[in-house]
Amino acid sequence: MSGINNYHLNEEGLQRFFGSLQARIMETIWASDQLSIKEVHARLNDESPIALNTVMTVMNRLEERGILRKSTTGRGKNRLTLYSAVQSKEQFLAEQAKTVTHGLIREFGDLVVAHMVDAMEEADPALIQKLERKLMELKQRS
Amino acid sequence: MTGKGNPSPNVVLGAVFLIGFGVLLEMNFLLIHHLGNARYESTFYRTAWQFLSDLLTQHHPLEVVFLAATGYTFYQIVGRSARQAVAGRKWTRYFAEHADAGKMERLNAAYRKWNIPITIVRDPSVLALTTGFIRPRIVLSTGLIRLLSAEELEAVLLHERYHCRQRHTVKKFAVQLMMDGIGYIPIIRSLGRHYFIGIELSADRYAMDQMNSSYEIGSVLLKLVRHNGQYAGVGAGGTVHFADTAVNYRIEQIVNPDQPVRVALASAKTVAISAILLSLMLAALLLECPI
Repeated sequence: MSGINNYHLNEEGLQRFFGSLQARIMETIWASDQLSIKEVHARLNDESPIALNTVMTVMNRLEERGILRKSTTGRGKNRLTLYSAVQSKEQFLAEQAKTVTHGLIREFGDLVVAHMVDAMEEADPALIQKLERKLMELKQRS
Repeated sequence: MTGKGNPSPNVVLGAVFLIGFGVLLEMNFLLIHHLGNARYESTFYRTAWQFLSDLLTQHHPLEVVFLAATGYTFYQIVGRSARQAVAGRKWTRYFAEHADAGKMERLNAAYRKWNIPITIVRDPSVLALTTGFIRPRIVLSTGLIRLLSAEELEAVLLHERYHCRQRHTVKKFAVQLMMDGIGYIPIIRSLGRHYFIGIELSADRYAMDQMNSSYEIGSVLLKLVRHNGQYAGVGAGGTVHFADTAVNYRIEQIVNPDQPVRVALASAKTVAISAILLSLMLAALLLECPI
């Protein structure tokens, strides 16, 4: 997943991945698990006035990018569409931090002579198990 | 200092330079010869057209191919150097904007004797790297510092210190230029890859020797693999193949520090193809500039 294509390296926290309204929407949804567009709008509007259409557009865009998921219940007048985050805030930030690391190194090129995360994803699980055993052995010895 | 069982990275580097500079020298000869014999017209375009038509009608196809390879090589080398210069400026700006002054001051004071600048950037990513050509520096992120114990951090610093002392930034860049410029000679790619793995093995071995233990550097690697979240353990069948990447050789070296870690240098096919290509280049040069 992810859906994040542009990073703002000079920003901090969520602002690195989202515009300010997107970040506020994501914070609101993470705080409440599942919310309708109207509920999100009501909460944001309490902080500062904002149009319902704007919130709707941004939330639908987040859904298209795979960051939010929507589920619909009921029929006719009782029909209700709720939005929830695909990942928890912690999962999202952990994944993005990893992506940013690789992005940084790719973008900044070979002046980076060595980086400890180099090709970590290609580590052989069988070898890692051997490493775990070796470390346990060394720990017991000391 | 070298990963046991492999030729020293400096020997591999020497081989890359020997082949690389040999080819570049031949290319220069050819280029100077062609330019020297060109008929110069009143405008650049007319001269270029004259040069091209002469080349295509009056010369052996082998020479044309060699000259095309020469153009490609210089284009790649100049392009990579320019991209790197831009990247260098970006890094410098990024460091300045994200420096964690307090942590940096404490760490630089603790390692003053090393005479290597250490930069700490406020970033949740896990970064540990060596950068800079003239005066190499170590860069760590606050995300990495949060993840590691004091001993593990020291192992990382020792690993990076080795890169700084060996000036791997400049050497690796030169090898990368060769790989970009004359990577169509496959042995250059094989040797370059071997060099990149070799310097990581050597840096780990240096850290292990200095700490008198392989525990810390092993523990760092394990934490980074877990942090990356890619490690899901061996599958039900246990049939996961060894991936031929630096991290696997590094783990091997830690698991069996007394056993040689053998990294394949170049296959017989690679050597044969490279020998044929180098011979063809020499033939093209002799056709154009007979002794």
